[in-house]
Amino acid sequence: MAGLVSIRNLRVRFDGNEALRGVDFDVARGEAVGLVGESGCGKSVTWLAALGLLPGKATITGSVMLDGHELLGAPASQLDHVRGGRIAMIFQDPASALNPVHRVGRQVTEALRLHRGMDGAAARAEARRLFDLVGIPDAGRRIEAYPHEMSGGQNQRVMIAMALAGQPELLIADEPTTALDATIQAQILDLLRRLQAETGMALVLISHDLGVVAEMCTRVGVMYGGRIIEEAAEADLFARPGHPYTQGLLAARPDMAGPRRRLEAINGGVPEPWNFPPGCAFAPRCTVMTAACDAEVPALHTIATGHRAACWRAG
Amino acid sequence: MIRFLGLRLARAMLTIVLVVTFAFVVLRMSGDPAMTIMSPEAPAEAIAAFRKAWGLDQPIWLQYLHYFGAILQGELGQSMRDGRPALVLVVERIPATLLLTVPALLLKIGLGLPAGIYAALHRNSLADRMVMAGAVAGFTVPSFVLGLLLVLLFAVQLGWLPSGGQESWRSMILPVITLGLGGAGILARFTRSAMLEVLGQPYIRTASAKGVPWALVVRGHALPNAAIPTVTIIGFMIGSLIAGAVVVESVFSWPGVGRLLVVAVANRDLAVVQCILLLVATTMVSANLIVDLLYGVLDPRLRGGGH
Amino acid sequence: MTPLLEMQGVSRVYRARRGLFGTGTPVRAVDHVSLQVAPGRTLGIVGESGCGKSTAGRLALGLERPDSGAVQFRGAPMAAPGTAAWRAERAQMQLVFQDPLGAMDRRLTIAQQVLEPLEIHGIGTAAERRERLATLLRDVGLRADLAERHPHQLSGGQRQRAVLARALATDPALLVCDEPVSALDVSIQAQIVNMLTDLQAARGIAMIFISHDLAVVRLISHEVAVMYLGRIVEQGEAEAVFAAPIHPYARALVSAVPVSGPRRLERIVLSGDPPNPAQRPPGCAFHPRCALALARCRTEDPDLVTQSDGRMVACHRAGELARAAA
Repeated sequence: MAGLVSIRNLRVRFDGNEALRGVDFDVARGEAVGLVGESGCGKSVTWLAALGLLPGKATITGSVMLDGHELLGAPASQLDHVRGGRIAMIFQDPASALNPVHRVGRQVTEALRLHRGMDGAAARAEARRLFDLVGIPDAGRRIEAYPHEMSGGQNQRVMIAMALAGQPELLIADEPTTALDATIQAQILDLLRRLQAETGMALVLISHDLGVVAEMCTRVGVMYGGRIIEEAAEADLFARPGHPYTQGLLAARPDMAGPRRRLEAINGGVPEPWNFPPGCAFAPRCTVMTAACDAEVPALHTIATGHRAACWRAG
Repeated sequence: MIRFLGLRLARAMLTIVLVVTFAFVVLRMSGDPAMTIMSPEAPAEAIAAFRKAWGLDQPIWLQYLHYFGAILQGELGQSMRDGRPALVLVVERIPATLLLTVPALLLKIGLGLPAGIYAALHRNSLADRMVMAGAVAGFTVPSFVLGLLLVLLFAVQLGWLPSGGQESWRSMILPVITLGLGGAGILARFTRSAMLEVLGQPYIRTASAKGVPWALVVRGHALPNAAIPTVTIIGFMIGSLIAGAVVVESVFSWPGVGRLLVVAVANRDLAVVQCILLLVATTMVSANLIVDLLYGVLDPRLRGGGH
Repeated sequence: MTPLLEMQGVSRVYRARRGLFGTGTPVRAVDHVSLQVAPGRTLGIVGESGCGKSTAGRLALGLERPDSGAVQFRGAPMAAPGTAAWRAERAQMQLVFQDPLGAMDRRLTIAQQVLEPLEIHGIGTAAERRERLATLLRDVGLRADLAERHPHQLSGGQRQRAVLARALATDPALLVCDEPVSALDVSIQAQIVNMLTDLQAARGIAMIFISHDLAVVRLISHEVAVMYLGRIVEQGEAEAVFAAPIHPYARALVSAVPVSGPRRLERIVLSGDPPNPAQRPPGCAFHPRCALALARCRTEDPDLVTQSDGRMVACHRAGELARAAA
């Protein structure tokens, strides 16, 4: 598959604390790739940094290439063309991600004007079509609604319509269903899957929920402590996790089928940024660590075809 | 909506009644007009006659009833000093006051809003710190101190501007600046924190993420939201157009409502003081009412009671 | 086994006011709910936001009074709120909810907060309390040196442990946990879930475990009740309900849980949002979203009926659905 986005050695620092410690990640055209990890692991920061959406106090280094063009340090005018036009993003809490004082239709037509030069009646007609496409009933009337007049699920559909307005090649969905109820989550995931198939856009799904990523993605990256620590095809990752952290995550997750078993918790907690281990970030919690793990940060290396892990003992 | 308006109007009326009542009671308790307006050496009969003429010999609750009944008929009483209707005395001073407070309000908004917005957009920059230091200075320095400093510098030392009076438009400059700077400081601080709050909201990030250029994010997404809290403070400033210049009018001997108030209080000219307070309460309350209605215009969440 | 806690036909009605003087529309947050919890057992309550599961928990604890129906604790009616008997009952049942930071006083140390219930209920001497503190912290897996810290100095998982230590201080017979692990990361969530099951095994505590996370509820509960718009639509043994739910809503809910690998239930995606509780559809409240609804479902409200395997289902088609599932 042809590469679309290529992230190399991406590092982000806030007020002296490192949030990203060298992320390498690729997204191919049209693929659905998942990024999982617990809070603070850097899965959202990676993409906010790539798109220049972090606050000004963040120091960002490394490289983010879109189709061979560097995004880091690109002029604002060029980034504005990429954001929403080539790479769109939707967020966790749709109610607060939409502007409360603007009608939802207007928030969609704004993107149409910016990226497709549409105005007036043409933009409104296209917004209506997008509302229909994302399954908002009575689109003609709902266009006039304000976010507070719609449910969480409907607002997330508006966000998706807004993202589709620019006909992006890549959609970043940052915990798109975390704030929603189970049956609504199923609707939104279904919608994303359908839209991805219809439009052929690539999808990066950021989630703390391994199940969501398993259902939606063909390839998965696992993040811990500001790095990708494992990356594999979805089936491989769940069947043969290579990194002890991935193994721990899978064992800590209750199942919906099979005998009820005691969960295997991972000891301890995520290291604080100011108290970061010198070697592997997971070493203090790891049950199979050796002296080497504290000495040096293990690099991501291939342990099987299309399967990489950052662990001295994997593979 | 009608119900909302009705309720707000009723509350406004109640506020005015409370202010008027409070003023009435406090004024009657704080000194005898007969002693201040007549000389203390005046014969006892003359003082008694004065009291009788103005109804001051009656019990306070009866005085209050008379006073309240008169207000309801639009009768605000006469000045005890020169016998002219209090309302006329006050109204003829209003243009002079507005001549100071309206330009001062424009100065507050014209200086405070952009400064606050600029400071928020360049948070922690040198400019932000300077704006905020200036703002703090602007509203912590009492207006009589600032007024006197300005007089010292521009009137006494440099001799560029007059130190008081009402001879030409040049006499307005110092009082307007004195009035405006403090308010501009308050407004700048308020606007800055409202903007910072809004800029941290997820929908601002959404707007950037869909490719809206930053200038448009600020104008189209941040400002309309930041306007909602800022309107409150501007409404308060509009409410004090009539009575906000008491100190400054005294410092610059400007013949406005504020100065009339100071003189009337000193003289225990009850009808005039009460008339001014009634006027002040009414403008304040009306400004608040307008602010409440503006909220509805600015914030769709407050419109239409359904939700 | 005699139930420790029993709710019989309990309803709680809120008035949703519209506008300032608007007449209230009655909202039946909990509508004719009957539940039992036996000592040492866990009842899971699942459902989506607004289904009444949290209100059911508060009714069970006696923190809210039912508008109709009865709540019995150890076979006797709940004492009236504010009375001495009610306060004594408080020590017997405790609530743990999602946000541990919100549940704690930021100004007090962990030790002060954990000991507070003992002081309020006048249990033990000062020395005994200090000893109890050490035991409690050990039971919930908190290092002793954390006792002198303030809540904001702890991680989310540690805070939830501290809240649990406080809840356990009075040796309660019943613990109501409302989304206790929802705000926690997977690895921490597993620690807390394990701890809850261990504590239950060691102390024989009865639990009501309220959560939207079906996988966690499946793991921890003996019995489970599925709620929709204030009512229980299916109730039974947890394993059985999650393996083969009968009520169409329960099926949709269970099938909506994302899983890796092949799924056992075909994914059912419901259309539309849950209706506003103030505008409850007539007949079966679920019928507008139900693919299996009959004409009867639009007019006639189904009762919760016990099926052949002992499970209770409120659906006109429960019989045929149960046979098809078997």
